[in-house]
Amino acid sequence: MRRLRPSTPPESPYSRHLAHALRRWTPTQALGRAVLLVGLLLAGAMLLGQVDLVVIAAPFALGAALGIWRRPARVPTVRVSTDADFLGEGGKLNAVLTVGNLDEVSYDLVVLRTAISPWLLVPHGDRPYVTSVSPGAAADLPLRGSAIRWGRPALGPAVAHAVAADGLLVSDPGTGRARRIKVYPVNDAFEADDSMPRAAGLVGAHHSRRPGEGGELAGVRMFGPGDRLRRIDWRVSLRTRELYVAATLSDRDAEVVLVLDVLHEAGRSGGIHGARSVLDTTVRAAAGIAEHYLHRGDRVALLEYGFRARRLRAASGRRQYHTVLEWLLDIDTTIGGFEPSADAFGPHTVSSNALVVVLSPLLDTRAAAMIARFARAGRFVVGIDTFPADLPLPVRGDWATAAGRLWKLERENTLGQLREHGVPVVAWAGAGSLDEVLRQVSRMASAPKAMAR
Amino acid sequence: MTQILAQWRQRLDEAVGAARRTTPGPLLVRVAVFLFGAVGLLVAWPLDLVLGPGFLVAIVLAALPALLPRGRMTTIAILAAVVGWEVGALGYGESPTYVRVVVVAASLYLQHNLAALAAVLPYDAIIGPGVLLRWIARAGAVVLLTAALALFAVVAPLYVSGRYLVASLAGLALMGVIVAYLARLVGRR
Repeated sequence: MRRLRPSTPPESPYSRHLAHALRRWTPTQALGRAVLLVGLLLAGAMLLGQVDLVVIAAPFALGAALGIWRRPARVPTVRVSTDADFLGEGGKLNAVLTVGNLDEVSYDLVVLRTAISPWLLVPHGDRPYVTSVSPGAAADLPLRGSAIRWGRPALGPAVAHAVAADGLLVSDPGTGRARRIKVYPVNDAFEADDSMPRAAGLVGAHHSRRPGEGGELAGVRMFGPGDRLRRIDWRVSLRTRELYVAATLSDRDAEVVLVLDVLHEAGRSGGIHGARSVLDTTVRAAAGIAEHYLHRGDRVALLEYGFRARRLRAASGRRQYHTVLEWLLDIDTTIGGFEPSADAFGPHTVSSNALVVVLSPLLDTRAAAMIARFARAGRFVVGIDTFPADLPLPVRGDWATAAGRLWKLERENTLGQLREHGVPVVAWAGAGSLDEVLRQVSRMASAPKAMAR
Repeated sequence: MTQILAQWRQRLDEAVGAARRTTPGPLLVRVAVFLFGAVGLLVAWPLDLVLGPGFLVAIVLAALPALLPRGRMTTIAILAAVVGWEVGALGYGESPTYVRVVVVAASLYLQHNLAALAAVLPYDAIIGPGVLLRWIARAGAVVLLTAALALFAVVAPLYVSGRYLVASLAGLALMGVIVAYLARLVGRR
């Protein structure tokens, strides 16, 4: 039986190591230049018998030989780290980029580049940084800046190229993964009256019409099993010679549903210290309103009017407030401005007792139609106009100004139609924005009305 | 025509923007590439040719590698200096002195070495402390070795005869081995 020989001869360990090492390193043009010059100069020295050409060739050969003889084999490692996983808008960012050398030979230099989100203001963060790294050591590059807008801005990825052999070899890139930093929105200050159209929860701060334990008196009645002794009205009991207790109306919490219109974005955001875009106003106003009602013990739910139709179910307390802030970080407009499907979004997804607060720039007629659907379904709806009043309309051509005025008139007409449907729409102005409209909604809630189911 | 003008205007804006972002470190390296290149050319070529219009040509030829370190201009500039050296040796019969050989060898090597550095250094990079000093120290060590070698190659033969041929052949053989090794490394890629 014949023994088959391998088609290719096996490589020696040294050549395998050399080939593997060079796979991660690329010769630069300088190496080719050194080889060319040394070859030409030596050939010229031999042909012309000039030893001075050997001296001119010597530094090229010596420099290349010394650099290549002792060269690293491993590419640099990169890591991105921050001292905090979350910040508030305007908060200070402290991050560190670490470049490591796991080899036994030092790198001549390392060129480090990092991608930084435009919402993280880091001075000179867009410039490459050059450092040298000793073998078995790491070099740290501190980055200090500030986060200027809510969201999840990314720090990184970071890429490092090492240079060895006096610029004759460049390594493959070593990469460090990006770190996403949570930047929570700064709440717009918000206060509102106690008016709530229908407080139908369990325990809260709003007066309701249902009898139960509460602070508002509702007459007297006969003592029954389960009544508390401290509720006995002694004056009436002594007069009638039978036990009577003071009846109260229960204090209940209410459910507030914030609907955020994310079909379109308008305006250019300038961060916490600059101009506001529509989404900036929407997110900060939603955070402020949620904080106010959660602080009062009410339940708050959030609903996204966009293709994703994200939903945060109603809950109360401080934990829900943190969840709301976390939920708001992922607010973004959908490409193409597609509506959510009818199954995922609509009046059927909202409790009939809830107060629905819609934050919308009303740029799209579909948003106005959505609000009208909620009103026709019998929900208590209040609209907040998040369109910036000072936003300049684009000027293109001679008819742009007239077209812009016409568009504004159409929009005013839409707002008027919504008001006729019983949906008050107010511009966002922080504290007290909703006081008047909440009183209106509460008065309307007490009146009987027909609704489409 | 307007499109071409717009393209040139855009290139000019990009160049102005790049000039504004340039940091001192990379700029210093490129200036050094120019200076060493100029010294190498001016010392290598015969003095008669350098004085006059040749001076301007040498300055332009030295500036091009500083502006375009990643291209082939550095190779062309060094080869131009070698050609000038041969013109002086063969055409003008100039005999090489120790100082002149060392200056030309050191200038051309430093031009090559710093051009390699400028090629890998972004123009807007922030350079950490000590990086450039360590690089120049390594280059300086090679220049010192070259100066020592030149003693044997240029000065010693004036006093020692007979063994000169053997030493030259041994040195040439060593250089040949190094070139073959480097060529193998480049060929592997």
